[in-house]
Amino acid sequence: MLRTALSRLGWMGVSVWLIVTIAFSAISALPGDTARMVLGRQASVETVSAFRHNSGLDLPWWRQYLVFVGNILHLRLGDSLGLHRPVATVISERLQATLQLIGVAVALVLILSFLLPMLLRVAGLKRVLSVYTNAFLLLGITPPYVLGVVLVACFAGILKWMPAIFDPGRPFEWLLPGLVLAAYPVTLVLRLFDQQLEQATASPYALRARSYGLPRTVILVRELLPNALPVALAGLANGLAGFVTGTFFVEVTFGIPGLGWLTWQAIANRDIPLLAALCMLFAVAVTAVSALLDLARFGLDPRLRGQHA
Amino acid sequence: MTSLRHSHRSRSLSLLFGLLIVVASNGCRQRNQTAPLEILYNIEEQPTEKMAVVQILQAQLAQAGIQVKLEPVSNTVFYDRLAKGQFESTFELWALDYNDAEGYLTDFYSKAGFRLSKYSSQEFDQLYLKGLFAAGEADKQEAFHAAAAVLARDLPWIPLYSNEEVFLLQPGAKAFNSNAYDDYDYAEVALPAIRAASDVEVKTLDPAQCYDLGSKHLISQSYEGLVALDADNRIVPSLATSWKSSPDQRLLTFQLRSQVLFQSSPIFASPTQRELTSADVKASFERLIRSNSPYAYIFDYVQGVSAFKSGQEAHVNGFQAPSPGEFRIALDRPLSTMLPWLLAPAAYILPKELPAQYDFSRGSVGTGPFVLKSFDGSTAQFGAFTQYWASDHLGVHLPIARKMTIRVIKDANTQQLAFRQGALDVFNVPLALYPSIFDSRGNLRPDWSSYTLHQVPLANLKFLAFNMNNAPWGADVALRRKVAEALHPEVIVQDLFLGKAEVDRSIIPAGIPGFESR
Repeated sequence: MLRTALSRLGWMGVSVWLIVTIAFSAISALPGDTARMVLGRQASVETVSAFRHNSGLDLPWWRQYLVFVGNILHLRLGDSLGLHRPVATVISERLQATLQLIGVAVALVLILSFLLPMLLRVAGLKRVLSVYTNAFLLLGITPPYVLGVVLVACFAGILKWMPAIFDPGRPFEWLLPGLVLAAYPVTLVLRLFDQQLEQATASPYALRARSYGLPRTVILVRELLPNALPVALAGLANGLAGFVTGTFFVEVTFGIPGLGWLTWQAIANRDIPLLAALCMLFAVAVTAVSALLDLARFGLDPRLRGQHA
Repeated sequence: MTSLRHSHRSRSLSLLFGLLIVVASNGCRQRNQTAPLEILYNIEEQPTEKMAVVQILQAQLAQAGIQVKLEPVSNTVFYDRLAKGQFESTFELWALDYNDAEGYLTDFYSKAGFRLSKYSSQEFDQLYLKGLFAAGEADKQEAFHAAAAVLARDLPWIPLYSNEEVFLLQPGAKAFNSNAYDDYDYAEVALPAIRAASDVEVKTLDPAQCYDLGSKHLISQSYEGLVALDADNRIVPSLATSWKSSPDQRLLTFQLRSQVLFQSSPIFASPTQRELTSADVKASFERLIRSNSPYAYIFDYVQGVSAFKSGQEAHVNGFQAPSPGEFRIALDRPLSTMLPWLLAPAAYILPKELPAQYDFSRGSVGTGPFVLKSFDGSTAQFGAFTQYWASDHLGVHLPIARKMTIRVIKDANTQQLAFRQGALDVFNVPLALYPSIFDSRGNLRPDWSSYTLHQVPLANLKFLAFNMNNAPWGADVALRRKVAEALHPEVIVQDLFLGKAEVDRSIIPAGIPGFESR
């Protein structure tokens, strides 16, 4: 188990380094000039070259890369080039909104893809369940930036149930952006979970449990869930990774001042210190979430433990 | 984990492919003599206007037998290609930040910082510098008129039109005011809490770094300069009540307004407030130079600036504060644009106690009508500065509102919805919504007529620019003249802007003092 955990940690390190390196090459390969993006057109040649020098943009690319990685390793985040403020301050300010958004989305994923289908199954409403699953497929395949605009137009424009401008102070209003973000993982997990549950129901051990005359709920919790959950959790890990890109669109569409919007700004400005910190944060978050879910799968499924022993 | 790793890979792969396509399309662009005229444009800035206008240009040129190839590109690609000169022509906007004709001419000067067209002409340079360093208004205008005539002959840019800015106001927000330079004035709006919006990103809240509209919108609520522009675009007193030039035009003397208080802030030792003095003006201007502002150039001709930049002097000799109520700028040579250049938000006045690492998002420390309480990247919360110095013409103390919020809402339809729901008091109408709000003659449609219409001509120029280093179009003025003669901007003004724009015949559009006639 310790060995597994250690090699796991090693892989986490490698994937974080890979993400950071890819991010650096992508930013460097992007066309455009950070100095002009930050200073605009009226700045004189002298001002532009002073900016390049002060922010290390006049160094050769490999030295910029070393500085980039070195700063990340030392957690020396520096100042954002575009926003003229310390990166750490900006990120800590914006983190809350994103965590809130992701929290709502995770809650929605749990309710919509695990709890609700289980309830429908226990209640024996199979037809409702299949309509529900297919309806979500439609939401899930719609890209978040389209879904966001469509939902706002429906709920704020036509139905007038909500104000057009998102107000973070009112908890109820977080549901819509949360739903847009959750739509894709829900679709993914819903189908996986439902299939696994269906297979488990048809399995010999379920038949045995039913023949003992155990109540439906007990069969579901004791026999079916442990068999259906691990695969669904793997799906969830994949779906949650989509949150990182999802927050970009959802935050910009709804005007939520979080990390997704900040990333969008950082890319538009070619703001390298800010992007470095954001990439690092996203890479750690995504790998950590998938590691946690893997641990959960190990806990649930003895067969997986066997493979690594 | 396998599936997760795979998803990372596929994302980065698609990114790489995207980059490859960009690189390939840059590399493969053909440059042969018979090729059509390429018009490059930025689809991330005002996409509705850009796309519609270039299509009209394309159709008009086709009628004259000139084929056009449109090249829509993203913001970063656009500026990259402009900077590297990888374009034949581009449809672009030039917006002025101060009311001086020099602002329209500056980019043609061969030693300018950006040089969109890479235009270079000794004759133009001489006239431009003659106007810039003119000792009197008449000399300046004569030189700039002549410089504009050189541009009209060489045609690096074909001027097309200047548009108006259109606002709809809720009944309570009628007193909202703005001018040709996007100075948005909410001080007289008689609502308890004003709710406004910005459709562009806010880059910075530090006045010294501000050059974009989004930042200026917020910063100008809390900070002020020595001079300002009124609703009729005239330079009027702000923190300076009067100013005069010495006979040799090398010394500008400002009398500062007395009893102007800074907004209260912990940066002041107790008490938390104090009055503005000339030492603050000096400190603000020195900070502007020190912090590598995009506007650092405005003080290039002030005495002692180079010694200050090189570190030989701790202060700029040319910024003089002989008494708390008087400030002087001593110039190396007469500079006709010194006063209008002081209109830039970068030259707003900050207290001299301002720490080097001040975080402007935490609160404002200016002299303006509204105090910035917080900005989270999307919403700016302001409170009234109750000790603000100004009153309206009836003597009512300003600002009238107690609170104000300005939200960044980039989507035009969301803004429109919010305005219709009554959640916004001021709505800056984007071109994309003109057809649904105005009839073909430019009047408000019946279901919009309950709102007040506020319409202002902007000091901007929309034009077709050529890359003068790129043959054949950049090399041959006869070809460019042919293009200019084939274009009819009045069609754009009428059909697209429904009359809410004006055709421009000169690089210096109407509205600039001394350049009213075309």
